[in-house]
Amino acid sequence: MKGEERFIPKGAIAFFIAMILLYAIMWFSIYFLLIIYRGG
Amino acid sequence: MRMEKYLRSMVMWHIYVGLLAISVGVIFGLLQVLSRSGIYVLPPNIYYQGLTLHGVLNAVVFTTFFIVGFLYVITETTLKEKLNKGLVYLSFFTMLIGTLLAGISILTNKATVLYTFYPPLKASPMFYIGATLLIVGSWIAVLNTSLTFLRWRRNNPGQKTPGPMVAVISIYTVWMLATIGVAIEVLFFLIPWSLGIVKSINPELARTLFWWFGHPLVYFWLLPAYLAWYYILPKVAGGKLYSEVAARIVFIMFIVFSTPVGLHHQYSDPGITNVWKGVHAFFTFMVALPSFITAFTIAASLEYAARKNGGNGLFSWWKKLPWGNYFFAYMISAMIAFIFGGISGIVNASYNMNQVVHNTSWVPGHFHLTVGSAVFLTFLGLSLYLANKLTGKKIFNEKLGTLSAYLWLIGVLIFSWGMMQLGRAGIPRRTNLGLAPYMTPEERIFMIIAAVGGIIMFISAVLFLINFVGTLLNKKEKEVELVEIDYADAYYKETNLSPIWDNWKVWIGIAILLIIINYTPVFYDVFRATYFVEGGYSPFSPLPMK
Repeated sequence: MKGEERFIPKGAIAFFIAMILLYAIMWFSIYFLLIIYRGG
Repeated sequence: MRMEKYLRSMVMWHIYVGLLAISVGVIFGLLQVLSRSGIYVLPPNIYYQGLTLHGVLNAVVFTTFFIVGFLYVITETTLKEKLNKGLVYLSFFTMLIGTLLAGISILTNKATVLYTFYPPLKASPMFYIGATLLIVGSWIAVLNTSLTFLRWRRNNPGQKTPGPMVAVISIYTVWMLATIGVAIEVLFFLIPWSLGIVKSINPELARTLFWWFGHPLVYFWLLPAYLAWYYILPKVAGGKLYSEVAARIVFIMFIVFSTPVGLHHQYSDPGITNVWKGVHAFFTFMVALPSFITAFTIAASLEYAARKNGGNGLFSWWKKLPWGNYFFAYMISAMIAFIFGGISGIVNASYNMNQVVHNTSWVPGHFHLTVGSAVFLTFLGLSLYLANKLTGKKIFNEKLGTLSAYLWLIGVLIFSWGMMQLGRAGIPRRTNLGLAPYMTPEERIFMIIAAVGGIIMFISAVLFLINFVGTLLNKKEKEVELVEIDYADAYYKETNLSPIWDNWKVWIGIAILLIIINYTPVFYDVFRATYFVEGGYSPFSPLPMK
């Protein structure tokens, strides 16, 4: 890192947030299926 | 690092045996998906025999041989210490004899018990003895690596363990802790039962011992892939590992949290209290954390590489990654598949939601994204990489490698989507659906979709094998004396590392303590609420035959 321009992984942070959003959508799609199965 | 000729040759033999196993395994994978979709229906006995071969050869034989061989390379190239030659041979031939015994049992239809070998399904003793030898052979490799590491420690007092070796220690610790469970199951219950020495077996006890082993087995497969993603991929991509400390913490977290989680495979099992299923569910989420850290750290490492290559923007830097490089193609395809494998695994681990997908086609949809892609593709990419590094032969066709990797990714995404849709509809796994009368036309369509994905995956595997064999048939470019693995430098190096992060006794001790805490009440429940049966179970009743 010495002598290098400071690197802030903004793209990786954006990717991580996008991945968490995708995970939330997929997780809730099964969660709502569970609710439907239970007659909710 | 000068690696002796015998070791280079032996590592390649580990890879050959592994690839021979998958050459057969993928054929049965194709037949499975064709049969389930009704395109080419297999008779029931062949279906389950093929399913056993597919699981054992791909998920157990290929992975174990590959991992042992790969970790020999990592151990010698990071520690610069020689492994014990005799133990390398002893380990290999023990594993090989075990594989042959188990393989012959399955091929002669005397061990059609699937790769989980749950009793009361019973195999011939040869299968269990073969599986035991395969594991014992791998233990010899662990012993060899441990002795080499301890010698390195004596010769290098005060030096911290090099990063890739941290991964090796983590992989083998997870393996040793995991195999205690299956060793007890096979040696004390299954072998005496199959030999007729004891008449009865406790299926629930056997299942609990199996899953003590079965889930950390997944990390035994996955962590060598993480090793490649953390320590090799960033350099191949033209960058650096973003944080050495993050990598170390991740591998240590796997030592601690991998094993006390097995009950998330047994949420539907009777006889075990909900409290302990809940505790195991909690620890399953804990073991997901290092994978989240990995997703960020690898993305940051790749971003660093892409920006050095002129990449910019919040997302457009991805375009500057070396998508045409065969090694990168295998690794990035593995990781993309793992994004979807990860979330489907979190659904499996979520206690009540597991009931929606339990024992359905969702599950093979999930693990073809994890072990069947994240692990499989990484190992295929590494097989080509190691063939080049260890034999000095040029890759037969790098473009073919790249094509094969992306083709598998496309295939598995189609296959797993089809399987998961079927799982959401409650269609069971491990069932010859081509013969099932209860499939609706809509469900048949998803099965056809899965079959299309499976065919694409099979074509990809064939292309890989052509490329690998072509590489072996190539002339040597150079005589190999020094084996240079492309280990990445770190952007954030480990400085002022607390000694606790290099004290393996502490982390292994915590792992053992957690196993004792999480499993003692479970075994109490199992012994209290379940019993040994003589006649096994009838497929027509959930109650044991007495």
